[in-house]
Amino acid sequence: MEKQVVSGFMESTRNVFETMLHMQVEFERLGSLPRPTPSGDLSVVVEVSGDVDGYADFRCPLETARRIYAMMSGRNDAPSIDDVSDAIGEVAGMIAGGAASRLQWNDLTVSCPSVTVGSFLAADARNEHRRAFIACDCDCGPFTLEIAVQRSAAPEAAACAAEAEDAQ
Amino acid sequence: MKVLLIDDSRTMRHIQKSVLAQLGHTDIEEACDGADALTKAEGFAPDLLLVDWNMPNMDGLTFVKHFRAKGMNQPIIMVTTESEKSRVLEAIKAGANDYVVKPFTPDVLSQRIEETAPKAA
Repeated sequence: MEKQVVSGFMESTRNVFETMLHMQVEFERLGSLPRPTPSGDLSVVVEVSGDVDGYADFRCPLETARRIYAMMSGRNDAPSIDDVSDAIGEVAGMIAGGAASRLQWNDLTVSCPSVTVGSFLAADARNEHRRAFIACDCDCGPFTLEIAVQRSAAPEAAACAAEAEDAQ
Repeated sequence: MKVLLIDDSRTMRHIQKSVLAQLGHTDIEEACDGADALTKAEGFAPDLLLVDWNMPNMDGLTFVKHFRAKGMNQPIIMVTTESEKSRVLEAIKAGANDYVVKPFTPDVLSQRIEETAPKAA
């Protein structure tokens, strides 16, 4: 994983939390994805395709998600899981969009956030992607970011590969 | 002033509604995607539209093109994570009047609304 990509996601995460939630984020651990994959109660995957291909996975305990929802919405009532998922999905989408901008990935499609609720979530283990893992903490609690992106093959290279496959 | 909020996130619509309320705008209709917005826009006749880009069913850019193709000329502010220059130009070319990048502060959104809204009068 390029350091530049990880830095782009960290800067974007910091910006989203400072702007929307008025709090600092601490990045506690950085490295390759550990085994076993850390679990979380809630996972939001945002896929990117274009200049680069891959995904970012924002994962956190439900309590962290509830606090983020409360900070974003200004509400202190007991939120439904749909409300919490919606808020975290928006946070993950802003992080991915901000990272794409910082990294100047111009020809890029960012998917709508895909939210999954449930403990002991396993990461999308697509082996073709090298993954980076960032453990984060903020006043709302801990969360993790898993980033798995790689530059897309140039169209010419892809065409050559396809031709080679056909020839075989 | 009547405002149509178009965003698939309820949380984001709630935040934008709070900003609009602080500006004294409470006549607000909400839509969760571009297709929903096209239906609601005709009946509601908004004076201003805040439009997200990345939404299911029909994205914000497609909505803006359809909306303008119908001859509707109310001001549109795109409120989106899409911040690349090429994307901004694409939205402006399609008919958006202004652009706010998420994440935003309430002050930034307020300013853009106040700058754009009078043109609706």
